[in-house]
Amino acid sequence: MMSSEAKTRIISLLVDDKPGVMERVSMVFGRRGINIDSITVGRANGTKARIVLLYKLDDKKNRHLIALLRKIHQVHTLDEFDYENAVLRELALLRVRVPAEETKLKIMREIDQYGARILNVGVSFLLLEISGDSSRVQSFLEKLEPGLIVDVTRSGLAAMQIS
Amino acid sequence: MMTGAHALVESLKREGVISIFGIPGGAIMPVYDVLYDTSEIRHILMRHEQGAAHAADGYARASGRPGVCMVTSGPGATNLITGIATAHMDSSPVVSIAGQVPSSLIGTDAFQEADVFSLMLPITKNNFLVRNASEIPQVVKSSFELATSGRPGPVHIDLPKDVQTAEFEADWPESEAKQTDPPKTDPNTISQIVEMLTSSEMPVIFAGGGAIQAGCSKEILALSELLAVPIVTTLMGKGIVPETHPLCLGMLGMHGLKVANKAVQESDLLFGIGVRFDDRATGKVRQFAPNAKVIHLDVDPSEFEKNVRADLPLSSDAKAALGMIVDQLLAKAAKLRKSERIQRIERLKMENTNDAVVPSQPISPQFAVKEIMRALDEDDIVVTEVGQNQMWAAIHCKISKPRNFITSGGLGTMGFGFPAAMGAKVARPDSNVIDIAGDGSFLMNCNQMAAAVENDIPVVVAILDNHYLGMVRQWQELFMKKRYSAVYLGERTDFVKLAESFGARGWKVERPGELLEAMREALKCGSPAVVDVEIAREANVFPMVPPGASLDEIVD
Repeated sequence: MMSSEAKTRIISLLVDDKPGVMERVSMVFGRRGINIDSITVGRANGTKARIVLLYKLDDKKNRHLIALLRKIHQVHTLDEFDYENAVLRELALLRVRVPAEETKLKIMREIDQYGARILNVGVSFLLLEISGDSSRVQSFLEKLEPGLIVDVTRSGLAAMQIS
Repeated sequence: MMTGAHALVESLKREGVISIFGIPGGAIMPVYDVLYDTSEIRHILMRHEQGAAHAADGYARASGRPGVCMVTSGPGATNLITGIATAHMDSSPVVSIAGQVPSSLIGTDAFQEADVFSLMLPITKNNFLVRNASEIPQVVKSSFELATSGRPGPVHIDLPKDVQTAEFEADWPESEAKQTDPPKTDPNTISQIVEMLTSSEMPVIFAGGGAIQAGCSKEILALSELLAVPIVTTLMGKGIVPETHPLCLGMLGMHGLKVANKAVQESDLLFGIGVRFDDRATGKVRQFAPNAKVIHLDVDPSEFEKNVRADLPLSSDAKAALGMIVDQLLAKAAKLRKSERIQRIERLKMENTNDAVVPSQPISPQFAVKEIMRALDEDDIVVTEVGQNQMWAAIHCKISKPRNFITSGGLGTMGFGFPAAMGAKVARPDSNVIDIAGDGSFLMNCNQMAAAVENDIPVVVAILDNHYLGMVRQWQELFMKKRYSAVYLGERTDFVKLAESFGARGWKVERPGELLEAMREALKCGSPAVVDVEIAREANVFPMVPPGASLDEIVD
């Protein structure tokens, strides 16, 4: 049965690694008012690039969107990922204040527990790196005290189907 | 060694291009310099780039071969936009080529620079900004393949000036079979369609522009006759089968024929072929063909369930799929129940007859269109502008063959008709080509009369002149209490003098008895001509389904 409720979608496109291709892909979303929650682009094998997109859409509109994306001449393959059966990874870089002595231990424990890494230690700031699925990254960010984080860069999703 | 400009022209020749509609300018001059020595290609110098795009589009629609237009950078290319968008909406294979400022100046706001690559993105199947001259042969080849394969559409090539002058060793791509094969059709799906067609009580074939592109007239007619399935068409599908055929019920939709709309609403099976269920065709989508199962045959799967449910979508070349359906039907001809269906069709026709059209003073638009058609024969081409003129033509012109009715359906571009008629005439010089126009639409691109005269392209414009932007006036009359805001065009434009000032011929017709003779003289005179027909000023287009209403709510 078709559902009209918006579901989280992950698709992976193999495209020509050329100027203008991103524009053509994102245009299909933008024109129809579909917000892209996450977009990750990188060089894939040969002269191709891999685009991984995360967005929310209902079944009917998603079928139309997928058909439109498949029509783009520079899109060679399009895979729809089953959320349950995919490895999803995101990287976040954080600049945080050096914590006060009394909370330092707690912070260090969180870093350790989440497998985050300290990349740089400065006088006032630490640079941290964390990777994992989005909820893990999100949960780590929430564990740090709100005032502690100065800046965050999140990479968007890299995704691969397990089988 | 050859220059990029030489390579472009050589590539066009290899694609079989013999006509280009264009206007030169600074950034495309190297190509025009090569064209100066190229006798195999006829260049038609247009008077505005929009018209060049429409002419290429009209050429493509009349012939089925890609139409080519060529312009300079900046304003030359931005002037193309309306024409390319028009071709895109109606899936017409146009290849447009524009000069661009030299590569080193791209992105610097140089003189006559516009970001044409981005501007063209949403209105082309694909487009190219050529960075190296060596890419030209492959880019041109891909452009023509893309424009004509699958669901056709426009492709744009942007060519920086330094790329045109760069020298390189040309390497011509092999002329191989098309890369994009039409999707394969599953025989089980065909059997399923055959079963649905034979078991339904009141099936209706609903054919559109895609059917014309697929060239499947013969197959549709065979299917229709084998099973006594009536055919309705969209505006873009007019002429797919002869509209005088007893099984053809004509155009459906907002201004469709009552019989066509009723047939769709009563049907229990709707077989859409090369249609996209546009809102002007379906009326209120939820009440469209409410009792029908829908089979949707289209080469472009992104059309499935976009607007209307499809119980059985089939992505295939329509000609191939219909051929398979007809073959299966022929094998089981005995079981077909035709007589009940024919009775139903006859009943529908009896209940939905149109009033006879009689001469009147002032001339009624219905009468005018019928008289205009009397001056033509079945191989002639009717092009229209957009608005009331277009709908009167669509309702009252009986078209016999595909590609003989050319109109801007999707974008609804006023000003399309006249330059498109020029393109059609260049593509098919042995057919008479007329543009059924409104006075508002014709004035939007009447400058091309100069190009028609100077290039000896004798098309005839029949203006249904009501001194109004008539369709807007009609809506204001019906839905806005006759508050005629900004629709009156005045009295002083003299279309005969306008035509004569360009060196064309002009006739003014005010009495019904004069129209046929004026049309015949205009078609005979051998030069571009205008026949300005004064029609009843506040005549409305009927039948009409009010906007947002269902096809059942049609008003005579």
